[in-house]
Amino acid sequence: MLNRRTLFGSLAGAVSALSVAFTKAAYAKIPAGDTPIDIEPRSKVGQLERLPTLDAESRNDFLTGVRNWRGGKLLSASRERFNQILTEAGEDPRKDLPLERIFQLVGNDPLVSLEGRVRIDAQRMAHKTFRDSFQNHRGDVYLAEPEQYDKRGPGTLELNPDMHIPDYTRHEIHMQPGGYVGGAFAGAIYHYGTNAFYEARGTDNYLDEHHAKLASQVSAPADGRVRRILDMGCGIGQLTVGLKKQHEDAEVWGIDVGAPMIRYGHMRAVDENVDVNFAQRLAEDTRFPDNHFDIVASYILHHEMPAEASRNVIAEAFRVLRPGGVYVPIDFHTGGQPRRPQNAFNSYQLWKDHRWNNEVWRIEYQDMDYFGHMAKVGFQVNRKGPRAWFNRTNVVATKPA
Amino acid sequence: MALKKTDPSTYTTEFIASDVDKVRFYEDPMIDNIVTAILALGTETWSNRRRTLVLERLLQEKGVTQEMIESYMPSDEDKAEWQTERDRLVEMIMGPLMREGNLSPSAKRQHDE
Ligand SMILES: C[S@@+](CC[C@H](N)C(=O)[O-])C[C@H]1O[C@@H](n2cnc3c(N)ncnc32)[C@H](O)[C@@H]1O
Repeated sequence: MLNRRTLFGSLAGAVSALSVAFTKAAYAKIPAGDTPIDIEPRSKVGQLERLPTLDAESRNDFLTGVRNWRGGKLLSASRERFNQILTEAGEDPRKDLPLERIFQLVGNDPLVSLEGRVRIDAQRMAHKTFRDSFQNHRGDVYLAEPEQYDKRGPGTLELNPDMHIPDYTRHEIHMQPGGYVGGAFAGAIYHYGTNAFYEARGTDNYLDEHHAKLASQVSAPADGRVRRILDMGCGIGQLTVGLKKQHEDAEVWGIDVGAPMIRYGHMRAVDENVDVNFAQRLAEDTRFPDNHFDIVASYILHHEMPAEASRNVIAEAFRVLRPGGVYVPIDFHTGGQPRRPQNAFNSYQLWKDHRWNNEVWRIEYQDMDYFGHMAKVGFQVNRKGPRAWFNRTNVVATKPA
Repeated sequence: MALKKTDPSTYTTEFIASDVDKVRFYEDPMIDNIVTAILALGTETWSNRRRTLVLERLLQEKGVTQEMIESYMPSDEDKAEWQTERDRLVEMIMGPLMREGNLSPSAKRQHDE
């Protein structure tokens, strides 16, 4: 585990002289006193601070190009080959197949293998680029930065270093080094990683415009009363801030199990002067009173938790919502469409995402009776709610008045 | 697994490491390694090319000519610094070729070994 002290100690020798030569001017001492220093050596693109070095930025740029190529040309070729192999073996590629049979048929195909290999490498190399660029070049400064923001407003930050961290949240989900709870730079790595992910899919998020759009798609209660909003698994608080901008008079809370995530989120909110509160708490045990919130939202939280935890989160959302309040959990496949892959190729891709992109809980999420459980805890479930993310319809659950 | 407490300086806690380094998609894991090495080479090539593009723009503005660049003689200090950087690059490109992936794409998870 990375530790401030070890980092300070090793920095002087470890920093490559070449990169220092290029970025020396950008190194600033942290001044004593009140003014927080905002480390932004290479200015910003939109709201995203440029990576600490030109090399890191260029490597990420190349890997974003690779992701784009992988998700376009290579994926199409791989799908075509996959389906051709199945057809030649007498299988119907439009139908699902047991994974064992899929492995047996396509396991050694060079093109199908290349798609799997490149996907993982692009993701791993990008993460490594981000982590190294913070850790090796300006680690002490970057670690000191949030310390100056932790107690600064307008909003608040609550960290709970002694809280119980469930094992299921400790995985390096989608290969993020150290995961959400174990990486000192988790917030920044998540930010740059997801930005590249969106960019490779043609969605710009340099101004958090993706999250602003999501926030505008989160339904309000029918009576229009919105005094308090909770964003569960808020990560770096992009939706949390979006929701506050959407409902300026509401008190808005973002909670997440990962301290490094919300510390980074809090820092960004302070920079933007947005009054939102972050707390290190569990979505299944929010410690808010009953009937407290008008809206409970989440974005891509549930596919990263086991089904049992998901069920607990749904029950907790029901508890903290006031009668008439709405629950809007945006994620993969919410709403009216089928949750399971409908054909062998998609099954295979889902398996690889689960096993090798380390989306540990994603298959459980796909298999879980999500809507059934919502109804079971008492929600009125509308599976054909408004569009959100790439879903044509999105689930909106209401606590009966 | 016995888990450690939160580190008070970074608020981080112990995580469960992924075993993705062990996957191989090709029958011969060396092919996996070569693909990885090629990607690494690509990122370095583009990163250098992009830096050169920036430099050329800036140098042009300052009157540094192509000829001056070609005839530059590195100092001893330059040489030592550049060697460190060169060795990092060698490790990055050649390192993956030494991996010996032994899990098949269908291997079950084994986090708690
Ligand atoms: C994919 S991220 C989504 C972050 C954010 N909502 C966004 O818009 O990008 C999932 C987040 O859920 C958090 N998380 C996972 N399980 C949790 C739990 N039980 N309680 C609170 N947060 C949790 C993770 O730490 C991570 O930050």
